Amino acid sequence: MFEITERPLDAGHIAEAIRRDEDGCVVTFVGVVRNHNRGKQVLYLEYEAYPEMALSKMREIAAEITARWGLVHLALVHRVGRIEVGEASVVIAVAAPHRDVAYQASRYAIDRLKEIVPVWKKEVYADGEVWLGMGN
Amino acid sequence: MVNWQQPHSRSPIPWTRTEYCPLKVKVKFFALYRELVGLRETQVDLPSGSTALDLWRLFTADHPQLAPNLPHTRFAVNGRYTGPEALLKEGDEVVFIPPVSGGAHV
Repeated sequence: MFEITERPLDAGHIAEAIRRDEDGCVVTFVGVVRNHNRGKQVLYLEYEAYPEMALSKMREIAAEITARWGLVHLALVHRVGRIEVGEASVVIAVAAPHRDVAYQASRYAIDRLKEIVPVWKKEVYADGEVWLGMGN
Repeated sequence: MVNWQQPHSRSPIPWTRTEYCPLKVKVKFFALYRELVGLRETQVDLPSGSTALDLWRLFTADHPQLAPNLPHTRFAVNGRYTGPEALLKEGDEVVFIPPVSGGAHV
């Protein structure tokens, strides 16, 4: 399950959508918007994606996980647009027969997502805004 | 990361605007680059044999506000990351990719 969406994310729904009866666990990672970064108060975030490429890179991450850990059930869902403090920006769910693989694959998925999936975020403060990743 | 200091022997610059330009590509902009350029997408005519880096140089000659970002920029052609030396073809979709920053900042 791979998706770029403007709608709020429901981690429980996403996890249940990928779980199969042969799975013994589901590891769910939820990235949320926090109210501060680098000493500044954050009002909200704006996320933007290159959707076609983001989805193809998500599929590539899934293929890497399958090659490394075997078949798992995986969801990578990223929200875009304006996201308020406390709301989820990304949900990663990994369902597998055993927990070791699920934990490892979950960690791998978020690390790879931040490396290769073309999604960008802008922090908005009371006195300005900044796109992250530009050497900051 | 682009090695922007490396001499680029195949660069067609400087060329004249009257030169025959048989190659048309679509360029899309996202995030900071969209804001700097003020465009979501545009079409650019190039001499045949041009590379992704040639396109960057041609485009930033007209949009110098983008030029200092080359060291942070990756290139994508038709949805795949490529090197700056990638040859462009008619109809390619090129994106100058700013540093990605998806997910949570954790």
